[in-house]
Amino acid sequence: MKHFLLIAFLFSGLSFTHAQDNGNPSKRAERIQALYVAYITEQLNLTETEAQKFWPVQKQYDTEVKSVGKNMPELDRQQAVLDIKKKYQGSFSKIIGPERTDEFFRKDIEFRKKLIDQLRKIRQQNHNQRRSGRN
Amino acid sequence: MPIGFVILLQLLHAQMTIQPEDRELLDQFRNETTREQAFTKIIKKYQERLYWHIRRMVVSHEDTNDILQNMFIKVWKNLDNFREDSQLFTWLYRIATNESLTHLQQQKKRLAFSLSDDESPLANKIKADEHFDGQKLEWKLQLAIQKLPEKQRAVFNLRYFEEMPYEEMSRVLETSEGALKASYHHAVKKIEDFIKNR
Amino acid sequence: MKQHPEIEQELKDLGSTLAGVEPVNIFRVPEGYFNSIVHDVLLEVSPTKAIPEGSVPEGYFEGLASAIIEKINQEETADLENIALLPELKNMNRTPVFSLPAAYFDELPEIINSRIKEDALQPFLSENLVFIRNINPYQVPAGYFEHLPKSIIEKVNIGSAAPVIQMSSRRSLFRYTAAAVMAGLLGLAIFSTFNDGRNKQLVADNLDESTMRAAKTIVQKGDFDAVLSSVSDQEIVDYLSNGGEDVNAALVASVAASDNLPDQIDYILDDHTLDNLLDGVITN
Repeated sequence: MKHFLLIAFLFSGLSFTHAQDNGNPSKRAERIQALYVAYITEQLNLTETEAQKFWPVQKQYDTEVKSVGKNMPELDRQQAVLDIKKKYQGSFSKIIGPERTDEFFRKDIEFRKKLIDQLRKIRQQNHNQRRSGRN
Repeated sequence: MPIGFVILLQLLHAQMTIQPEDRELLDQFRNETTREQAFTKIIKKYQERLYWHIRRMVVSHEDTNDILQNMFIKVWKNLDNFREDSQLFTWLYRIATNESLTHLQQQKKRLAFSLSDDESPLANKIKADEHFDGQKLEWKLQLAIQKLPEKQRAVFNLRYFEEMPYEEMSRVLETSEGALKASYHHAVKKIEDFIKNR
Repeated sequence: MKQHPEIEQELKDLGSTLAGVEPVNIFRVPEGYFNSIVHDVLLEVSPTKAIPEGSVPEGYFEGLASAIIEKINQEETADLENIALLPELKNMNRTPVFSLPAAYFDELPEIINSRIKEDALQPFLSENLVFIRNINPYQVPAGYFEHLPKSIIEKVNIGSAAPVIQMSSRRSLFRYTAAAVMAGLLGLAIFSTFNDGRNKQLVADNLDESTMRAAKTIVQKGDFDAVLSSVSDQEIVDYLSNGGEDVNAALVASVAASDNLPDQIDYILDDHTLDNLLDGVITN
């Protein structure tokens, strides 16, 4: 019995460390993903039950938007994204209503803007630090 | 005149002690073998009234369903402690109202982020309803009700829709009868104004 | 006004503000009129049963709703035209949408009796509020109330399921459970070392769950800004690029669009202002 337990623990240890290596890059993206979910939840006042229906649909929407070819001519690419948004407008409206669906599309862009602003801030800070290091 | 007095006494007596039918249900509930049956009967007896009472507070069906189910689970856990010194449905309404008010307060906290204007999220939910028609009186009434502060909303709903006597209401909301009357009078005024001016 | 255009014209000529206004006809109805309808209809429905003061006759409530509606329908073209209902009320659907459980009417006599004694203190409800009490705008999914008791019972049983285990069988139960767990762990370990690709998919699905949990925590604690500040630039770049964003272009655009552009005086006070500004756009 004791030997069995020992071997079992050894093996389980192995599997856990293994999982962690793979998990790391995805874990980092997960934080921002969580921020996005939190942001949309708060901005749209999503309730528990709305959220249950909303996020699966949003995931589909997101996947489709991401799949739009990045090398298309710019206007065509924008048109494609717009078409996808219009396609999903109905589904979203059924869950949270048309006004809040509008809000969602707006807040979706807001969020990315926030990220960009934060990125700028960090880069600026980094560069200042480097400069003061030099001086 | 004496007839009226006798009836009044009967009334008070009826309100103070539990109905015979409900007493039977309680006894069945306390017996292990018939517990589930009795519980099911209680649910069937009161579910619609409680449902609508809750829904008029929180608007959406989904939220109402959550609250209603949680409420009945609490009932299951606490029915043994119910002292039969009031009506069963008074006790049930108390739990339902508390659960609804708690839910509304939790929702308020979750909206720390929102800087939305004068429209409360509940008003938005009403307007988002598939069948909403701002011209219709019954919808205007719902919008008006949601403008009331939560507790006043409960007072209005209990009085206007359930026609609950103040004495019973004071046990549901744990507030004095006088305060409830005043609250209701104010609520009616606000609602009448709202309906007239929209 | 539509029947008498000359009156409309007269108003316009006078420059009156009433010219464009639709006349809404609201008479005053005698106090207690609608409360007395109930009594009056009942008298008509069963005139032989005299209603003693202060009590309610048997079978009163069973027939009440339909009796009233019938009466109203009969009189609709005559009397009700004279009673000023708001235009909306006239066209309203009168069929009661609201359904009540069977026991409701048994309790009603007591409730109404107590209301009678409090009537004097009631605020006067306008005709609107009296009429629309029973008109319920909300809809319930079909079959909801039929299924509700069952789903509640299920939840209750999951919560309170606590099988009582005898003392002696407890130990062997523990042994069996421990063995099963060990076997499970062992199996999982072996499985995962050999099944890398499949594992990633499992991890991805679980990611969603933990993301949601993390998001919930953020919402509950309200520390969105704090978490945002703790995020590294590489994370942001990764996230945005995965979303198909051209990060560099976005950075430049954001600088140009921002209202954080330095003031003129900043340029004078600090030689490095311009550098700092451009540093923010560094695309590394």
